[in-house]
Amino acid sequence: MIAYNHTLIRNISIVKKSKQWFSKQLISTEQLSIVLKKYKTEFYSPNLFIKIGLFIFTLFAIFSAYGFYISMFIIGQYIAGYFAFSCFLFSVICVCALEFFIKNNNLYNAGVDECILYSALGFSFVGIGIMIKYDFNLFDNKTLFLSILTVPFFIASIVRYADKLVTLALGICFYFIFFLTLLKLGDVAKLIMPFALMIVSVLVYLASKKYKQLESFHYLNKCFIVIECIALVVFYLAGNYYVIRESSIAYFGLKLNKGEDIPLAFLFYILTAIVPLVYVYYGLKNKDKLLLWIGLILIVIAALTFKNYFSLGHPEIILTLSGFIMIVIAYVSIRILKTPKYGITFEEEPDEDNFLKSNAEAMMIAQNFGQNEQTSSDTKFGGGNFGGAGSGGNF
Amino acid sequence: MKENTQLNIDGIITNEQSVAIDIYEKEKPLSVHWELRTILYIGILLFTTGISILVYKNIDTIGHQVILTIIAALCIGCFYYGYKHRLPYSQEETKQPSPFFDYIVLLGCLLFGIFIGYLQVQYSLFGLHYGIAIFFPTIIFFFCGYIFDHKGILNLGITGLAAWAGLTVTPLDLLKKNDFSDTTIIYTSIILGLLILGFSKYCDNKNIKKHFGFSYNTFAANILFIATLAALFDQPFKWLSILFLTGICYYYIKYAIAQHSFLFLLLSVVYGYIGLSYCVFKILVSLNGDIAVTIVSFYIAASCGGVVAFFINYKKILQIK
Repeated sequence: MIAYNHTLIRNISIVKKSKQWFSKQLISTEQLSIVLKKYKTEFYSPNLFIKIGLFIFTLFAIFSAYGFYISMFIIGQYIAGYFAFSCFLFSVICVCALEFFIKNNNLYNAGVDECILYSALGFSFVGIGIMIKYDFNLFDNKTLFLSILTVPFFIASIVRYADKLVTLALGICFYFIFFLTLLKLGDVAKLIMPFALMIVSVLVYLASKKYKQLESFHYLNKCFIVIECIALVVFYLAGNYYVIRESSIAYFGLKLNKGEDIPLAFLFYILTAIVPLVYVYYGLKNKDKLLLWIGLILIVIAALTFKNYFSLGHPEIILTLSGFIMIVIAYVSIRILKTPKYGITFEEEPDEDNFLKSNAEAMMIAQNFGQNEQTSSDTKFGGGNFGGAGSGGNF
Repeated sequence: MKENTQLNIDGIITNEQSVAIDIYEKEKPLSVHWELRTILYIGILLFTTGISILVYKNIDTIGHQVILTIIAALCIGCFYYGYKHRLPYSQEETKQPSPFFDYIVLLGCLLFGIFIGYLQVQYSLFGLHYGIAIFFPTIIFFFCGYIFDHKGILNLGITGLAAWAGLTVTPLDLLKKNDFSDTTIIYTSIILGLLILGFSKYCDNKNIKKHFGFSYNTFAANILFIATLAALFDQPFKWLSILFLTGICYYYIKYAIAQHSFLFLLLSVVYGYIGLSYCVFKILVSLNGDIAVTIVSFYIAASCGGVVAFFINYKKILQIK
């Protein structure tokens, strides 16, 4: 199913976990060195800045290649069919190149592979857009049609390349289709829209949680996390006072006079305030970092929402006060959680970076174990070659 | 399949260990380290911003002397802490006594810079001799950088030196602030860059604080490359600029290979690529029409492909395993 080498991906997670266990002294130095030697992680996966650089250069390369093609073959007159054909052609070329690079250069989240994948999708969508004569009218039937047509492309590339950004695009596309379809109900849509979106989000979230557990979907783990993220955020935004008020005015033709409020305003105020806190609570209770982070970010959004409608007019005092409150909360929690309580701790979780800091020495030893072995096997191989040359000389 | 089960099957860990790992994974507490630290950082950021706005709005009732006194007191406090806790000077890299040492010393130097700047703006301490106003803290920064063995402060010093030499320079806004069409600035930058480069080379040979070489060379490389490109774009004698650019590229690629440093390889390749592209376009403009467009798109596609291939294979070029 997946294009990347499955064993290597598996090895990455094994090595990562082994390092954590090693720093907790659950496995010994010798065992870690065997793990490092046995489970090779020879993907090319550079750091973020190189990744961005590679992405940009690959993008340039692809588009100037496209420009080269256009300038060679269809310069001059605009014929829709030719352009659609060239887009599909480049989409196919991109997919072939992607498969080739992944197989031969061991690229894995290296910037190049993502860029080629997005370009391939982009070319296909532009091609489809030209075919159905799409005219960028957002609430049109053609938009709905185009969105539905993109779904299989998204799903295919997620299954094959397990890409997070494509998953995000699929999520947005899904909600967009849902939104546009519901709009067709007319006036009823206005009333049920927030609740319908919330119910769908709950369903999506639960389904994602359920399918994430399946062994055969293990490699899609990150994609499921993205889907959960979207579901959680949409669930909140669908009940957020600011979003409902402004979107009702903008899209549903609601007119508010001074002193008037949207229907069910009280309910939405409560949802705006409570949902983030519920997220944070369950995040801490179920040890779910994703819920916790989204809850924390949504608290900020909730605070901004309330500030927007109930401002006191002294931003500097609010800044100072909120800063002070945050410092106090953080300081007190750090003090309390120095020793783990209720299954929560301030202690850093061992991961790749801080593992290196505290275990640099042991790590060196472990790696040297492996390297000595490797060099000795290398020389053996070299010796064999020499043997062959020697016999040639004899002859 | 869980990772520890896999290890168990492959015979690397024993059954007992696998069970112990299972228990650990189930019962390990949730770490909120980064969450709390983020909240703390944002809190400090908001708090200090709010306080500064409050001070700014009420400057008339507080008065400049009070603020200057507070800054000076903080600054002296930081330096006193640094002086108390510093390790004896050595030619090698010294290990910092505590994780806060770096930050406190850096804060001290920044506050010192702010103090001098405040005095200059409010009371014009050095009159119209802006050069001295910049040069004085620069010397202090260099001194502190070496005494406390602190790269951040050294960078402040280098920036100050360049500012004193007639530039307001940090690598990022080098391009924004300066008008490079003036030849004196180009020559000053090139001479300054060469001097810093030479000094760093000298220190390397004499084994004085070798780890500072990175800071010196980052700066020297940026200023040299940008000045040379500016010369190439705007000045006559293109051949001289091209020759000079090739020379710097050659030097820094060799330096990168010697140091196994990706950054310098990247700098040389990117700046060199800009120079090369400029030359190619310059030649193509003199050609005419359609054929030029085709060649340009071919050149961009091919060269971008080349850059990507270079990135993927850089470990081989730098001879890193």
